[in-house]
Amino acid sequence: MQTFPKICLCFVLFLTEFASAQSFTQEGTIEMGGDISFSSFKGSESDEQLITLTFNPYIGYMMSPGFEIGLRPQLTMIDDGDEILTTWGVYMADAYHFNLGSTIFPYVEFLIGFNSIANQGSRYGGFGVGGDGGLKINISGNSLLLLKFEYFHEEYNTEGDYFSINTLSFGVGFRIFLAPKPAAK
Amino acid sequence: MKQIQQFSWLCLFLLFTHAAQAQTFLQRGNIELGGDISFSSMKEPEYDNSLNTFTFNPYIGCMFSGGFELGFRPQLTIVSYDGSSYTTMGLFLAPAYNMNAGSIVYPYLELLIGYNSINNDEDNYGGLGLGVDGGLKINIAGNSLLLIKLEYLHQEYDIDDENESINTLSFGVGFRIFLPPHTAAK
Repeated sequence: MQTFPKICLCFVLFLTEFASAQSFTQEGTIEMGGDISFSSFKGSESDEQLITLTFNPYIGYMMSPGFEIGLRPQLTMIDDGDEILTTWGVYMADAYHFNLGSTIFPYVEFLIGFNSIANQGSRYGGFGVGGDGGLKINISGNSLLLLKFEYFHEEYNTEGDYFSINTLSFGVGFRIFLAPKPAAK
Repeated sequence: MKQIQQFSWLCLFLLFTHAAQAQTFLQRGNIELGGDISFSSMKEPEYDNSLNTFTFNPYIGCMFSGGFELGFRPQLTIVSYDGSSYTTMGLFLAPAYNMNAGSIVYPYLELLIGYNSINNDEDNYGGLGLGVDGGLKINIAGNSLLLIKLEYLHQEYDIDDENESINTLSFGVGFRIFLPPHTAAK
C-alpha cells in the first residue's frame, strides 16, 4: 500500500514529460484512454452488498507515422457476497491511422490476445481475436473523439468443454494523446 | 496513518508542481466533455439469442466564473435478451466547484441531484437521486484531463408505495477533455 503514492507520483511525472500535442500521428506519440472503477452497492432492505471492480485502460505508442502498437488489458470482478465472478483479457492492438491532412484520422486496428472467465467453481480461458475501425477526431489540442465499430471473437475452453462468444459493438468515447517534446536545440 | 501521510504528501506535491504552466481550464465558457456511448451485441454460435447492451453515459459541463461549473450527467443502460429487457436511467445535474491551486491540479467538489428509474418488462420504479463526488482533475497536457474521483450516490425508488434505496460508493479514474470557448464556438 505504501508503494501506491509512489506509483501515482511516477505516473504523473511520466505524463507531464510530454508537451502539448503537435500532431497525432507523429512518431513517439502516446495515446491513452479507458477507465478504472471500483464501486460498492448496498440496498436499504438487505445486508447484501455488490462490489464491482473494472479496469479497462488503453495505452498506445506511435512506432512510426500512423502505425501504433497498443495494449488493452480488461478486468472485471463482481462479488455478490456468495461468489466472485472474474473476467479478464489482455490484448495487443496494432493500428494504422490514415493521415488525410485534416483533424480526422480514419483507422483500422487488429486485436489479438487471451481472455478468461472464472468463478468459484470453474475457469475457462482461450484466445481472442478481433478487428475494429473508425475515426479518431482531433477536436481540439490533444483530445480525440473516438468513433468505432468492433468485431470480437472470444474462445473459451476447459477440460474438453468449449464455447465461443462473438461480439459486434459500436462505441463513442474520448481519448487523449501526448506528443513527445521536440528535441533540444 | 502512515498511508494517509503519504497520500497527503502526494497531493501536496501535485498541487505545487508545474505552477508555471498556463491555466486555462477554469476559463469562463470552457466546455468539459467526458463519458462514453456504446452498443454491443454478444452471441454464442450454439444459441439463437443474443445479448444486446446499450449504454449512454456522457458528461458535459460548462464553466462559469470562478471555477464554478454546471454539468449534466445523463445515464442510460438497456439490456435485452430473449425478448426481455431491463432499463436503468438517470438524469443528474452536477454543479461543481473547481479549486484553483495555481498548478495543473484542480481539486474539485461536485453535487449530484436528479432522477433515476429502473424498468423491466413488468414494472417501473423511480425516485430521487442525490450524491456528492470529489477528487482531482489533472491537466496533464494541452486540454486533456486525468480525472480521479471518489463518489457517493444515494438512489431512491418507490415500489408499491414503499421506498427502497441503493447507496453506492465508488472510486474512478478516467479521462476528460475541455474545449476553450473559441474552439467550442466552431
